[in-house]
Amino acid sequence: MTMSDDDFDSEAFIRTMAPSLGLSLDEERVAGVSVFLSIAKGMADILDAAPVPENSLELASVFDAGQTAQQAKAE
Amino acid sequence: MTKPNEFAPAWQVAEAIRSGDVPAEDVTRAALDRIAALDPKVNAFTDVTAERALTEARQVDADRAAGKTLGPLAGVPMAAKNLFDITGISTRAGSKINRELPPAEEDGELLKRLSAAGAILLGGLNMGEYAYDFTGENDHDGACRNPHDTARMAGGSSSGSGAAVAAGLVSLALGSDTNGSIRVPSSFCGTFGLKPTYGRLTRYGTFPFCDSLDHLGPFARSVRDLALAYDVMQGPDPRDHACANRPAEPALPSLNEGISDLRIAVLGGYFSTDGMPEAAAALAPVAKALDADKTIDADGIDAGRAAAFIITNCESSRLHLPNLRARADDFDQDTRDRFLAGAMLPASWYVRALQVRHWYREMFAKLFETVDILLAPATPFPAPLIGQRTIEIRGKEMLTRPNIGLFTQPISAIGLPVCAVPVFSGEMPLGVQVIGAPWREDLCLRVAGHLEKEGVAVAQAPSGF
Repeated sequence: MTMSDDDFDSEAFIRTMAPSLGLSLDEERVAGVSVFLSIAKGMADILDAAPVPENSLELASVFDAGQTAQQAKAE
Repeated sequence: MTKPNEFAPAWQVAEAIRSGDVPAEDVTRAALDRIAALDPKVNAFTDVTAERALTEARQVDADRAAGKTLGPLAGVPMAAKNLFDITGISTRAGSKINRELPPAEEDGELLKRLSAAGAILLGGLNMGEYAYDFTGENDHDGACRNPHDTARMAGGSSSGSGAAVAAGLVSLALGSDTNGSIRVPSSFCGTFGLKPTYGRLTRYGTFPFCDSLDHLGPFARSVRDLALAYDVMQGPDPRDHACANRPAEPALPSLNEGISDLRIAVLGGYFSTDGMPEAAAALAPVAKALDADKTIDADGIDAGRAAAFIITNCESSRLHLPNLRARADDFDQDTRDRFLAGAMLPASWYVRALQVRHWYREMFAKLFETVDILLAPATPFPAPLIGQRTIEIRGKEMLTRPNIGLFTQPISAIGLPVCAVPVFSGEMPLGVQVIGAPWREDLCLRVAGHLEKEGVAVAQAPSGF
C-alpha cells in the first residue's frame, strides 16, 4: 500500500531532514525544494507500484570486488 | 573537389583537406570568423580556443606537406560541451562554482581520440548547469538560442552542441546525455545526434552528473559524420569504471547496407503521439519510409522513467552536497532546489529505483528478441520559447521543463543506443529516436543513414546563418 500525496507533508520532511545533511534552509527555500520533493515522491510511488517480483532484490548496479579504481588505472 | 561550404559534412571537409583542395588553416580561419560573426546570435560558445585551433590546423597542413597519412577527420572543425576537460581551461560544466577549479591539464579522452583523428578543437560550448537541464537556459552564461528561431530554446543540456552544429559553426560537437541531453537539443535544433550504449564511450576527463546514467556522444549534420566520429572514439578505457571492456565495433563499414533485413516497429502506449500533432507529424514519415507498420505497447515505461528520475536526482545531489551546504546561492536557480530535494530522498527510493531499473532492462531485452529497431519521437513538441514555463501536452497545460524529456528518459534509463534524426515537418524541426538493442549502434546508424538518403531526415541549414 502506498501513502497518498495527502499524507506526505513534504515541507515537514524537508525541515526534519535538512539538519541531518548540514543544510540550513529558510522558509522560501523550503517551499521551493518542496515542489521538487513532491515530484520525486510521485516518481517513488510509480516505482512502488511496478510489478517487480516479490522477495527479490536484484539491483542494476553490481559491485565488482575484484577491481579497484587504482588497479584499473594501473592496467 | 572544390572548397567545401560551411554546411558541408565533416567527411567532405576532411576529404578536401586530404586532397589538397583547401588547407586546414583556411578552413579553421573561416570557422573562427563564422563563430565571431554569428555566435552572438545563438550564444553557443563559452570559450573559443582560436590559438590552439590554428596551431593544430597548421600541423595538419605540415603533415600533409610532409607526405604523412592524415586522419579521417583531418582539419574538421569541432567543439565540446564545456563539461569536457580542455587543456588550459577550467571545466565549468555550465556552473559558476567550477570556474574556480584549476585549468585542466589535459583534454578529456574522447577529445584526444578525435584530435588524434585530425579534428580541430575550436572551443567549449554552453550547457545547462551541471547538465541538469533540458532547456539550454543558464543563469551564468545566458540562454543558448535555437538557430532556427533565436527566440526559442536550443534544448539541453548539451545546448551549445546542438546550436553550434545546426548553425554551421562547427561540423562536429561532443555532448553528454544522462536523460536526453544529446537527443533533446538534436530534436530542437534539427541535427543528428548519437547517444551510444551506456558504457560504450569513455567518460574519462569529463565532469560527472550521474554516474549510473551518464553517456557521451557526438552531434553532426550527417550520419556518415556521426559514424566517423563514433568509430574513432570507441575502445575500452579502464580509467572510467563504467566503460565496457569491448573492442571497437566500427559502424561505418555497414552504414550503407540498407534496412531490408531489419525488423522495425513504432513504440506505442506511453509513447503515443495522440494529442501531440508536431511529434506525430515527425514520426509518421519516418515510420512510412521504414515500412514500420507494427506498433508495440511496452509495459513499465513510466516505471523506467521514474527509476531514471530518482537515480539522477539522488546521485547528482550527493555529488554537489558540499557546495549546497556552503554556497547554495551560487547555483543556477533552476537547478539548486532540485539538487536540494535530491539530497534528501530516502535511501529506500533509490534502492527501489535500482531494482526497477534491473527489471525494466529485462523487459526490453525480451522485446528486442522480436524487433531490431524501435521508433519514438525524441521530444513531445518542437522547441518552446525561451523562458516558457508551461506547454500543452495531450490537451493539458503542463510544466515545460520536466516534460521535455518525457520520451528520452525511459530509453537512457537502461542505456540503450539511440540515433536522433531530424525531421522538418513544420516551421521547427523535431527529432525521432531510432532505438537499438544494447551494443547495436551500427543498426541505429544504418537506419538513420537510410532515412537521410531517402530525404526524410535531413539537417537543414537555418536561414540567416
